[in-house]
Amino acid sequence: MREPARPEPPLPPRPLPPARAVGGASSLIAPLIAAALLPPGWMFIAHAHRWHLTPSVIVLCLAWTAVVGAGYALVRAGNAFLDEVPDDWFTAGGNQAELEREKKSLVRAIKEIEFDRDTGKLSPADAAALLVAYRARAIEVIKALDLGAIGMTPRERILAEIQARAQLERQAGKAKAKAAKATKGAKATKDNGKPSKDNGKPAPEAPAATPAATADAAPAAEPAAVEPPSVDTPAPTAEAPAPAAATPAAVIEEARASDAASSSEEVAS
Amino acid sequence: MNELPSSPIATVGTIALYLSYVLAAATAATGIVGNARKNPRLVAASVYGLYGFFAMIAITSALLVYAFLTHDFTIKYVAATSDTSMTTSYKITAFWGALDGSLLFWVFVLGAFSTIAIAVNARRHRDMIGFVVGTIMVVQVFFITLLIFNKDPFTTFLTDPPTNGQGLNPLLQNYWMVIHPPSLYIGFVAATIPFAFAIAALASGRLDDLWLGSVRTWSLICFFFLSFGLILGGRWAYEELGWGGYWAWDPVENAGLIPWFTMTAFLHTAVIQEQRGMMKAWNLVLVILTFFFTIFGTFMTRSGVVQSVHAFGKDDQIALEFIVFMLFFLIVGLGLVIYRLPRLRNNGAFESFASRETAFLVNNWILLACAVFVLFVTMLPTITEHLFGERKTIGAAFFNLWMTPLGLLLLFLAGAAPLLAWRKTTGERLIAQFLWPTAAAVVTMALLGAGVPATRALTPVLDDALRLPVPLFTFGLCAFVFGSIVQEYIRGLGARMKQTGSDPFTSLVGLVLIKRRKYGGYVIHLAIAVLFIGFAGKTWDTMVDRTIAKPAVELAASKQPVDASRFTVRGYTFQYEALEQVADDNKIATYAHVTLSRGKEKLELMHPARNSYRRGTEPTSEVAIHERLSEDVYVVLTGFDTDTKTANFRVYINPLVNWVWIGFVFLAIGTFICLIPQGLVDLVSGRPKSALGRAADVAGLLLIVGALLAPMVAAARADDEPPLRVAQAGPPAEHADAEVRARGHADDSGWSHRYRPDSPTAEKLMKQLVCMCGGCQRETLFDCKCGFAATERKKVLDLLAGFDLTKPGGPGAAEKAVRDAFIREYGGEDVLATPRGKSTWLVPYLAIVGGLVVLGVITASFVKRGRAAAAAAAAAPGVSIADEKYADRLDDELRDNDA
Repeated sequence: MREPARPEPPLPPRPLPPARAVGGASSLIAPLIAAALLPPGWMFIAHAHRWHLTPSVIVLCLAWTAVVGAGYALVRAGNAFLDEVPDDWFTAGGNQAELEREKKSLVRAIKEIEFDRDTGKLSPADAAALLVAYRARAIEVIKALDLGAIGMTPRERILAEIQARAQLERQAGKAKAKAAKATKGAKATKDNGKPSKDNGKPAPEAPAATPAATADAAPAAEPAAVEPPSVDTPAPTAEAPAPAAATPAAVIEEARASDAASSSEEVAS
Repeated sequence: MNELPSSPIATVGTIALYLSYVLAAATAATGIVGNARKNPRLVAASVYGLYGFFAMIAITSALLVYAFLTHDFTIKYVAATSDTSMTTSYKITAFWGALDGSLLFWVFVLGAFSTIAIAVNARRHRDMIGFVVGTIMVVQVFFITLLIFNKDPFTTFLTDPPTNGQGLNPLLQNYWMVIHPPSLYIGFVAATIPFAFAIAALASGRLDDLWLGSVRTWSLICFFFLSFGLILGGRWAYEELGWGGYWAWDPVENAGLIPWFTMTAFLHTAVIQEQRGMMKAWNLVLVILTFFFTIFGTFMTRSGVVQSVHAFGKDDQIALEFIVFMLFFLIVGLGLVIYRLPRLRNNGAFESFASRETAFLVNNWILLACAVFVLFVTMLPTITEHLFGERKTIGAAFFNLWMTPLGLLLLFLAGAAPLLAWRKTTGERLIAQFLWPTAAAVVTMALLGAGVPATRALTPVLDDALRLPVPLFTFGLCAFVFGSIVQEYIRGLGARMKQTGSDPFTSLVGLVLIKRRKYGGYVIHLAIAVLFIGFAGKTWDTMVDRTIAKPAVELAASKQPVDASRFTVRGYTFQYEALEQVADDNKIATYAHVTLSRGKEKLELMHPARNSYRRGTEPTSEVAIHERLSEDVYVVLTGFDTDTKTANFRVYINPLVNWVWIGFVFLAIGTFICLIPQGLVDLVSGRPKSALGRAADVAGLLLIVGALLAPMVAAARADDEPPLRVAQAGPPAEHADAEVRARGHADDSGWSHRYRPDSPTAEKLMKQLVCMCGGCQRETLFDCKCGFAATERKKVLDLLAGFDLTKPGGPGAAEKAVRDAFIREYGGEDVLATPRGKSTWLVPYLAIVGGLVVLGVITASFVKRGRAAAAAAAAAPGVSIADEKYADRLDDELRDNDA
């Protein structure tokens, strides 16, 4: 029985080529010819009217300009069949552009809420509640933009997201433990009359779960369903050392490394 | 044998027209097929094809203008609309003076606008630009088809071309002709660009908000030029037509108003889509409807389905072609919306009635109701003629019955909507926001109600039987709007000063520039309130007719007291000084010199005139207006006798009318604020120019169109200077009854003062019956100045003489009897200004009120769903925002975005 073909490892992402002007980078010959044709025509018209620049002469000169313009446009239209056009003509912008627009829209909405709060239309409590949801969604979009900028495949993006969430949970757990320790130390100091190392500073609060983005947020750019982690992916353990900085690039490298490791294991087996 | 007349201009122009037709069709096909098959070369070629098409049409238009300037009367259109005596500016305006040229002008303006729109947006929308080009070119193909097969402006005489033309209609020979039609055409044509983008978005499936951002500028341009055109038309009517008013609900006036309603609605709901991701399908429908109504308005004026002084005439073939075209685009447009409906779902939801979204929704419904009502009533004569064989017409009074309450609701929303927050406004916030504007309204109404009795004038609303002090409510609502807008500016300024720490002036400039769409929009709301102040004054205007036998000059010469040359109207004294005639190549003008005084203060020497044209066209009035902020004194010379120097005058006192023109100035300022290019804002704030800023810079250039018209207007006004003064004999002041009837509408007969109403019942009847002379476009007997109307007024008075109007029920019975008598004489209700049928008022009542009820039910279900969604979102496990790095980045973005 033949084994199913293994998918090739994904190629490194290719950045989008810059958009080219309509009609491509045509030479300057056509516009120069067009510009060169204008003055002789005007002069001929003026000469035919004995250089009396009446409104009718001006109108004829405008007509000549339009004639040259029509010729130039038609030549360019013909050249358009020969010019190079970018392959991504019909995927203008793509996902990244949509995310950028969504980000701008969310930033505008947040500013609008803050402005309404400052002008008294919204109470501080109402504004805060609205801002939580909008900020959450905006952060999601910024994250997605970051991940998209590195040129990740959807699978890489999902894996990176899982890794990032796991990272956050580890950090949250550590912060909670630290906070508990600080509270204990402060209490002990209070009982013993000695200042604690933290100088009575309140313990940093564990990041609180906040309401999800509300229904008015645009649909997420990432796939809705999160693929469960592959069985080949080594599960993170509590003792596993956390990376020094949970940057998307680092997480992706880790995901790719684990992918590559799982692929080589499959090949070996 | 005589040679056949030939015109090289006509030949070349016709060739250019045919080439344009071929190019338009090819470009349309290339763009649509290229985009559909995702062939970038075809799409790129179509873009250049559009540019080439504009150049071809520019050639065609230039040739026609050249023909006018060189008096090429072998071309029929040139001969019909110009002559050798016209000045250069009027020769150029003759280009759009009649149907043929106006169609070519439409194609030219659309070509110019589409060239700019495509050049600006081709790169940004390259994945759907082919559909945009294709849509625009299909519209162009339609209009060029009309030109080539129905109304070719280059048609020549086959034999014996005239040596001189017929000249432009005298009513059109004034500076308003230079600017009013072009501004309306620009408004109509500008609606095509958003339509094209909407169709392209639907066809290509690019249903995000990108297309909305690109059409925002064009929508504002459409709104501005429609407003400009409507106001200019009103001002023209006020200055030139001599009936003392500026708006008569004429079908062609309505043709410009209907798309104005839908475009205004779109400008509001576009904001909802940008802010909340809602109303996507509705916005697309509005854009399609606006375009449809611009074409429908053109159809009304060019097909003859409506009777109007503005209409170009009757043409059944053109009517059929327009109907097919409109149906085609309506079906395609709405069909695409239905096809894409699953992808046009709202991202947000209505969460509260007390929200800006709900206010915008109600505002939209009212605007749409206004559009549909005006359309229905305008088309009612045509509908009843085809269905029942009887042409029922609706006068201005019926329009005012309905448009008054709808207008007041809109005025209220203009003040209320800015006070509401997005999503929901809590009770406590509502009170805080509404307190001062409401107080301003109440105080204003109390002061005016107590101090100015005229504001308590009862005006019929919805029905003749229901009368309310509409002026008082209007002023109260205007104060509410003023209060609301001023409060918004003050609070916004306070927030900005707190945010930036700047001084008030800098903060105000920053506030307006950064949030220019909002604060520019507030200025427009203020403009609407100012307009309504002007409208309110109409309820207590005055009209009187007077005849003066001898001028003061002659009385003084014959040593008689000059008191006989004076009369008084509402505190103003008019002294008829002299009668004078002057002549030029075009006309003979008869001037009456009248000194206007108030008390002992001499205000102005006024010169109302009558013009008689040598080419035999109908005489026209040149009114004399003394303008004041509080009221205008408007004098019309309705008749004269050059032998006896007898003169007939009609005097109007029009309170607050100048606030209408002032209101437009505010509207223009507000629109210009909204259109401030991002590039200018970046320059002032020192930011790098964005691509959108560069694109939006073009919007500023487009407004230069208006500035380019200014020299032509100046030239045209210079042409209106008084000509050489030569005394000549003029027509007699009055005629016999039979002669008057035979002449039809001739309002120089000096009969306007005859048989005026002597009782409220007579006045009411004269306002309900229209003049059937066939020349005055169905003015009421009360208003029409012609002799025919005078004899009809006499008939009314004679009929009323047989009734006792003092006993209870007498006036009602008398009214019914007189109306029935006129209906019998004229064989139908055509003689009534407002038909009596219940269906006439029932249909709009059901549609508007019923629609509001349906809207309320739908909004309630939206709100219920929205609240449930919001609650579910709040209960769901949230996304952690503890990721401080991203939160910091977001804060940086918010700081950099000074919006």
